[in-house]
Amino acid sequence: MKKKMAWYWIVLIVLAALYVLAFVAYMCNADMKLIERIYKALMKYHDNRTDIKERI
Amino acid sequence: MAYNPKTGKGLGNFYKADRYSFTSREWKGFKDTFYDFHRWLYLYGYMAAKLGCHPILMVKGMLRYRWMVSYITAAHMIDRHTMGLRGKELRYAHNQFFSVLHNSVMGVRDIIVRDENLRPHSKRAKALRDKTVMFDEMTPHHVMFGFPTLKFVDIAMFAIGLPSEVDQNHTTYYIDAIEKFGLAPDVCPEPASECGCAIVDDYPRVGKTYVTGSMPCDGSVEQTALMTRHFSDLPIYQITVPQRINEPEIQRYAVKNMKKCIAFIEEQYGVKWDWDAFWENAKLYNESSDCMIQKWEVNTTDHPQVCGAALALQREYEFMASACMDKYMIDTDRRVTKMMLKGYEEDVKNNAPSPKYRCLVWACPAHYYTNFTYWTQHCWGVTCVNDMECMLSYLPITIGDEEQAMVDLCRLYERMMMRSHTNGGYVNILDELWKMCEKFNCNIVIMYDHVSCKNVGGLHGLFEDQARERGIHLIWIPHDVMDPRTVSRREMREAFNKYMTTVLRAEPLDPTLLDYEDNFSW
Repeated sequence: MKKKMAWYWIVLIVLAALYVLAFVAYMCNADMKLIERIYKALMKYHDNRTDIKERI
Repeated sequence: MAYNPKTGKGLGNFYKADRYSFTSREWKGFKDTFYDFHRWLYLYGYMAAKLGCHPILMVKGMLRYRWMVSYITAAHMIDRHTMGLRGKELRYAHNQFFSVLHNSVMGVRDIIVRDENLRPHSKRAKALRDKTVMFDEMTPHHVMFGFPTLKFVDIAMFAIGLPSEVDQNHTTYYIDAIEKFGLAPDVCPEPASECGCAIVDDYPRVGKTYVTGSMPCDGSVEQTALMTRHFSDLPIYQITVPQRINEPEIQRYAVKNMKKCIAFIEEQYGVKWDWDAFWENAKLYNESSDCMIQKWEVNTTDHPQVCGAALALQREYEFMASACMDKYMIDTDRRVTKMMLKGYEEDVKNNAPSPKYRCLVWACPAHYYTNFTYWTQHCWGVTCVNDMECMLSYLPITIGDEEQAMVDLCRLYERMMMRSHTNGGYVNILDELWKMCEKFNCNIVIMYDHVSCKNVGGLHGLFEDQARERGIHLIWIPHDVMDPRTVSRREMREAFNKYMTTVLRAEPLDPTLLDYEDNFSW
């Protein structure tokens, strides 16, 4: 009969996998590379805005 | 040291000419890399917890305000200041910078929940605005010590000051906007950016009054004139503390002006000045100043601990943005002071090596290159033991004496950022420098040459003559405070490199840092 893995082992494995993934993302600077894309897109959006009015 | 002579790889390899971000993060050894990683996780966790509960407002904010986009690069700001640091120095820097970001995240949250532009029909936002005072950047908020039921938000600091230190290209759009409007291009880019932000209507509306100050420089006069026009629909008060601050007789005038400001707030918000709250907040201020003095004292020795931007920026934001009322920042002060004293004792016990060169940083720094002193440290071994930016008022407030406390409160305004030194007359900026060189045992001064600042520019020759008489190496680093297009980071480094190679005949510790392209880098 196949033995079922205890739930806490599954949670632990998922957490460990997430931890490793986060560390890889950290070392590769993946967070900032993703933010760079978002930043460029938002800046392009602001550059193309036509609703800016002078308020003085 | 981060440079590996075998592979020829160093910190300069993390930059790429066409990239905003670093190519990867630095391996700092097992212990330090995992410490850095956990700080990184904590930063994102904190931001998610505080700002993640307002996802719609955050998206609306980033689409409404150009400056808010710069805040998403906060983790990069930490990286560029902690790059190359190891051991206790890495821990000091993380603690110091996180406290600044902690305060900023709370500030951004306060803005988005109150802002009339983002929530024009919200009754809750209106109720919050009715209890909020808006401040200008060059006006410290210590007057709020006595108003515990009111909130304050420094709109210029959050829209211009802080983002310009996070993202070097942040202000160029606002500078162009105001120059197109007609402002002369030789005006300091700091007030120019603030005016540009007003012109394109990029300031949040988070309070029902606006309190501004007076700074004796051409840019600030223009800024105050333009900002008061921008907020002409709101009641405005201008705190005009005296420009010459060393004479005791001027305090009578300063106190009179401060009392008028208190009366203005009382009248506008229907509240009364609370002395009990004032004493509580004054105690926090006194404690934060005491921690700062302890850091300075340790840095006068052969084993300086909290150096460079970690020392300067934290104090700058603690004093100017949070008015020393942020309990998290005070806790950080206590924690870092404790760590620092322990680190100092260890260094003395182990007879740790002293810095190769000790330097002081003087005059107004470049907002777009806040990690310049870390670069000097990693590239040339020049450690910055103190910075004029953190030499704000440290004089204590007298607890229990109401008349004297008012005078002490005014002194905080008289000795705030820019006023005490760059705009406070030659006694404060010139004579004080030589006293500090003696106290901190420095014979190198990184002298920021802000090309648009007329006040310091007028003293250029006196600085040079007096430094020569004293045998002090005065290294002039040109910059244009918030406009990297006038003098780039690379040109600032070149000026320093030239002095180190031609005058001091020094060899770089990390040759990869000598010359690299970072015009795009945040």
